[in-house]
Amino acid sequence: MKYLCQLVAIIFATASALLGAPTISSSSISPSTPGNTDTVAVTANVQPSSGATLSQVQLTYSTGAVTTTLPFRETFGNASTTAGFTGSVDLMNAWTATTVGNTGNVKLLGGTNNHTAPIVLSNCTASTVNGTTTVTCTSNAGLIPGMSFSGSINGTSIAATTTIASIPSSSTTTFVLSAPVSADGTVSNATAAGVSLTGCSLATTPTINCASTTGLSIGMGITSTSGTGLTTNPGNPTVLAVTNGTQFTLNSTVTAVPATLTAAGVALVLNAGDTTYTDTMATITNPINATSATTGTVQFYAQTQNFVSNNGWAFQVSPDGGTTWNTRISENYAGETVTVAGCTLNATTTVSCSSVAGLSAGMAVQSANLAITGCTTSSTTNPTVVTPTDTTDLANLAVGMYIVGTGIPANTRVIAVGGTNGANTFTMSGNASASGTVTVTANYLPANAVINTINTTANTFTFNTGVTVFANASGVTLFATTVNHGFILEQYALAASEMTANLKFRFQFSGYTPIAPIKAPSLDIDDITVTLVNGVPPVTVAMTSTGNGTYTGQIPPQAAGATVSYTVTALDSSGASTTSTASSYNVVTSAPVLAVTPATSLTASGDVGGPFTPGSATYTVSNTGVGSMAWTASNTTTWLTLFPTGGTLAAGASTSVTATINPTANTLIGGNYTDTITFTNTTNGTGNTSEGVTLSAAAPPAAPVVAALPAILNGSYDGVTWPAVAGATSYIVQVSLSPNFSSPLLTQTFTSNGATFSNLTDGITYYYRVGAVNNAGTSGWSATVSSVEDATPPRISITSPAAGASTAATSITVTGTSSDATSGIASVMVNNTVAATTTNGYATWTATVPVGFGTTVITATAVNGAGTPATTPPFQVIGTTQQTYNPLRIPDLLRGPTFNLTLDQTTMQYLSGPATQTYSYNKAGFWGPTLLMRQGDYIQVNLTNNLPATTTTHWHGFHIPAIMDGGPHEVIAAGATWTPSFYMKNQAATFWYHPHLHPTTQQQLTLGAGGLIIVQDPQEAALTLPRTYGVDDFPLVLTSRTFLTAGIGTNQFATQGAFGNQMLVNGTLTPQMNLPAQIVRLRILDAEIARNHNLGFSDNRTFYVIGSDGGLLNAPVPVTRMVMGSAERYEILLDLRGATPGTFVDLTTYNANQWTGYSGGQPGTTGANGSLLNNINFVDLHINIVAPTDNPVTTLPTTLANNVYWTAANVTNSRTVQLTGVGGAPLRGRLKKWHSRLGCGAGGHPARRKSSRRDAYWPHRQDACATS
Amino acid sequence: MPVPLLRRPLSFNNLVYTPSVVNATVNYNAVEQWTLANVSNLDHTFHIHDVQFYLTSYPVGYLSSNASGIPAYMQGWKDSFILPAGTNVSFIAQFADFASNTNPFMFHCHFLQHEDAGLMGQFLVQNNAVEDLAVASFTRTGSNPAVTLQFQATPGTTYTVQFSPDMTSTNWVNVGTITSNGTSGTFIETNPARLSLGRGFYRVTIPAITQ
Repeated sequence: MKYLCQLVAIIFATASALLGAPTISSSSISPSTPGNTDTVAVTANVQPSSGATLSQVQLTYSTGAVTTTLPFRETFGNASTTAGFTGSVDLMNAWTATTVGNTGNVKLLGGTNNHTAPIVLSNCTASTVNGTTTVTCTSNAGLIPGMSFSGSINGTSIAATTTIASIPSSSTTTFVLSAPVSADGTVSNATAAGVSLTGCSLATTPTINCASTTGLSIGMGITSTSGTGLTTNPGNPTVLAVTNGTQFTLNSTVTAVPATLTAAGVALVLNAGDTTYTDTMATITNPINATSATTGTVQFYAQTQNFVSNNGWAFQVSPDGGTTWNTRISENYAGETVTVAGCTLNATTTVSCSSVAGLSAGMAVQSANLAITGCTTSSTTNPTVVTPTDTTDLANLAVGMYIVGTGIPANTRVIAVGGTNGANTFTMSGNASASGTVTVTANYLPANAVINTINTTANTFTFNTGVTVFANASGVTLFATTVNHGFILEQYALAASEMTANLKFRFQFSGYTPIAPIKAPSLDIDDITVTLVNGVPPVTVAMTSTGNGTYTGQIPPQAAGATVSYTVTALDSSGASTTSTASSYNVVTSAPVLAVTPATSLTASGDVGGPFTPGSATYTVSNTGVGSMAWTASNTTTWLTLFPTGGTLAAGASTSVTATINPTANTLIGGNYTDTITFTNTTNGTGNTSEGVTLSAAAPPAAPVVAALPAILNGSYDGVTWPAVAGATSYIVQVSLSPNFSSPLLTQTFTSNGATFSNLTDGITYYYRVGAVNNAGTSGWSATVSSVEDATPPRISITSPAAGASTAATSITVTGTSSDATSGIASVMVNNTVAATTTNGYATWTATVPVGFGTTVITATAVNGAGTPATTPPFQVIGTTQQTYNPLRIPDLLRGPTFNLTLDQTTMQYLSGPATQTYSYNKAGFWGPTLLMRQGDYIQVNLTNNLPATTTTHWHGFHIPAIMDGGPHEVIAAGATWTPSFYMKNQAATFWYHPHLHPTTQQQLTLGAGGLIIVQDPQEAALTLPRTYGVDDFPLVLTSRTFLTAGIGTNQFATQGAFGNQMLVNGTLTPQMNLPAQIVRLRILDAEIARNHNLGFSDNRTFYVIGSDGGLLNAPVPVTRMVMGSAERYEILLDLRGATPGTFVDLTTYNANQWTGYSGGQPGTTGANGSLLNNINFVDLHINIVAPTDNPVTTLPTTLANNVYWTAANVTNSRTVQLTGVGGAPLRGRLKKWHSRLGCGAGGHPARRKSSRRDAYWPHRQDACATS
Repeated sequence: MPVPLLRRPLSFNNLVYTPSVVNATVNYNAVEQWTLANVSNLDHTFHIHDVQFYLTSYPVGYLSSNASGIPAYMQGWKDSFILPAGTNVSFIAQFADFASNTNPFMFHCHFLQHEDAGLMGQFLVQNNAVEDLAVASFTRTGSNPAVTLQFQATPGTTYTVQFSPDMTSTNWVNVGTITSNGTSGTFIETNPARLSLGRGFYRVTIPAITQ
């Protein structure tokens, strides 16, 4: 249907193309079916008549009501078709910027005349739309913004203060008033004049005060209305700066000022030494002889493209053949303004805005100025502090803003607002050149900010290099300006002095600094017409070429439904003209529709490094609607290239877009990548389409790195491990009996990065290797690792002495045998004493071990070459020599609130031979002083670490700030003093302090670092309880240690292993104490590395628990046994009333036959969890009863406290913390041994389980099939 | 092939102690019930810093055969307890008085070899808002050169004093830090610019402690 609307595609010249007239051979329009958004290009081939040259070609079009005539243009960008004139003209279609001259600076631009007299405007009409009154007269020539405008509109007077606000650059007839007028219609008595200034007086030369400076702009000439009274030097003063609403300065020294002045239009002023107007780009080289003319005009059309900040051009006239040039028409950076809002400025030069529509590269960008007036600067400080009197805009002033003002250096920025210099000041980065009053403006951007690149998808743009964007501003509104415009008519009336024989013209650019990749600006000058008048008729300068060729004119978009008729008229130098037959077209409603086929994604795949298949996809982009369509195709990744990325499609047209996976894809690491191709109809958005792109780059993983295996695997861990390989989804593991894997025993896939195997055979060497697998394939094999399997424990037995043997000596010699078929015996230990071999390989061995009074339990442990131990069942020998007790050590008591503590390396003489090296607080030897604190006291601790190592001191159980807590983060360096202080908020109870440095807590505690803390409070003080320290109130710190027996470690504490072989109470070996026959209080701390104590007394008496970890219980709890875990404290009352002095009772640990997993119930006597005290009952402390003290406590309290505890109703949050992991050896392997040892006969231990407890496997079992 | 049961590190929630990782955050003043679920194969003793708690659930048959499983001597304020393998133990505690966004407290197994091997975690008692938002303001009509702020404080805690000329501002400026050694902190304004203002606001914020 749309073709029916196309009336004419080709037309022929009319019959008026007579011999001797120009011919118009053809004409066509594009697009062929114009929509209402389309600009229609009309192209005609025009030839002058024989022997003549074309002087004018016009396109005339009409929509019926209005007929418009346009001058034709050459096909844009095709300079070769340029018509010439007498003298040659080089058109400026390209910008070369090769020459920099120094001919002068145009200070003031925009016109060529001083308008000091009112300009009478004729045939004016006015209309007011949306508060803007636009006046149209015959001509707006000579008007400039700021001029006053007077007259009346349809009888309504125009306010006296009304001025000309703006003049559209594209119009020669209209202008806009500064204030709306309520009436439309004919304007009467319209005149425009310079700005009238009243109430003027001289301030300080060259500054003048007037009642108002409204309408005044820089460059206006200033005269006195009376023609006298304004005295300046030099004369012809112009406005240099407008200071504020009532003040401006002149470029002249002023000595007298009348009350009334007039500011007139502007004049061009060239100052020697200024540096613009650089390139002489076009000169009419042959002079024009204009001596015969009385008047003359030059007119031409000028179009600017890609003009940016500081660009300009000028038309210059030389009356003397090129020696003297005068600028007569010029245009500088002062074009359209594009506003972009919501911009974010950050430290980079990329700016993001809500929209970047309307911006183009090369535009100069500024943010709104903040005018800050009345500023006083003091140049005596550097940087300069500025104190404004008007603080209105100070609130919006931000650090980093650029400051511009008289005497202020370029690129000066705000570095502080307010601050120490006073709230109403700001500080500049530079030093102002002088102190005094200045007016400054602040701006987010420097003066030279020019757009470099624009991303319309992300709505961002970048600045040219060298622009440092103000940091951390958002929501800023920016203004971008440019002088680009299409062809506009420029006219110049030659002055009488220019009517010379050597009249020349030229055009120049100015102010261009090339900045890649900004497009080169271009100035197109067209249709230069020089008219010299010497009476009538005028003389028109002839063209030298015929001018024949193809001309294209453009008809702007017309309303849908309109019928546009047009003709082409050609006039040649013979005076003949030809007008083509009228042609027409109908304007339809533009509705382009974007369609893309095929609607399929591009899915490509390949291995890392490429190639990828398919390597490209081709989409057909069509305009299936009406009217032309602009479109774009875009994507976001670097590995996909689209071509082309946009264009214009006429209705019904289509084109291809190829999406190609480019070589960047070959650099991608393995993985899946996606992109989206977005096809956009930028004309109206109809049919916008996206197509997905998927790229899969596959790579097999790297080969695993398998950890080396020990030479012999002991069966506790039969397998290999390796760090997870990036990208691997599984692993292939091979096991072989030969290093070349010629016939693997096993090839199996694992998803974890470790593999274990069972049922390996002792004495066999197994080889292992691993490969990593993913979708792209399998890596190479790892290096091969191998190990000999020895899962069978060694065998060991004791041959002498016989079980139950007795000796009066303090030691006994133990002999036995051992063997291991695969890896041999590496060592034999008897009660932690290293045995000597008496034959090769410990086939027989002997050891001498100490024997105490009473029962001594003896076990022997053999370790084979694979590190697997085997231990004999324990058996007892009886020592007949009386036990010797050591008096119980009672730690010193220190009273607060200030505590001075040190932590030192010390020694204790526990055993004969070398002293035992210890750590202790306040050099106590083992276990430090007891600290007495009172609730509510402000505690100050000065703790000096004299160790050659870092430590911390934790207050176990205290409720204090975390930084005082002494946990792993509160490190005290060697030699440093830590001084925590805190309020004692805890209740009366027994607490303790000890090192808590990760991961050396065990080592430092083992060596003896620790101490008790007794907290007292009024509630406890009010009770009748024993509390005389060392008399009826005693600390009992239970812990066990193993003394090393051989080498340089002799008599030293073993700092590894969970359970010691010998008990220490308050650091005393085999202790005894005297207690009076009354009620006494014992504060018991389980300070073990790991052992629980199931405490009781040897006579099975009842005792009374009165306090737990953090306070008194509400009432005493009578018990005969009490289990304590590591770090727990209980205070008990021991009722010795009536006991007979001279008798004794033993505080005893009853750890035999506790539940499975009970810490201290482990079966072994050797190894990491072994101890001679494991799973037996033993005496902690021998207590001798002595006579009561004076004033003994003889009553048991019935109640102690009224603690109210939290209940579920109080809970505001619940959480579960899992205690995870598998300690010890793998369960599977142990289970296997457990089952296997069932056949070992009577040599094994009985299964220790209480019927009431859970039926679970014992994880610590270390017994073996030993013989004895 | 049987599923291998390999030795895995003892840890809380499968995360071995990492000094830079905070395992849990507790809101300041929260009353929390913690349930320790020992899914490892070993017994442990559990200890938590900062608080004394009250046991509410304990496996029956280990320390006591009574219905609660908790022997009477454990029914008091506690900071440590035995946590048998395969069992759950619950307690309730309030995390009051001390908050910090930077300094954690610890919880851990008190078997020292376990603790050193990483069976330890750390938690922050966190007060995300301004702590004890104490706002002081002044309005000056005549000559009154001194501004002295005094506020209730926790000993040993470092507070940040902030200033704003406008209470509604989001732009509070740090003007000083005060470490309290007693029950109150005192801040004396010395800045001439602020002292010259006719009106201003100060507030005391949560400690910003660094180690």
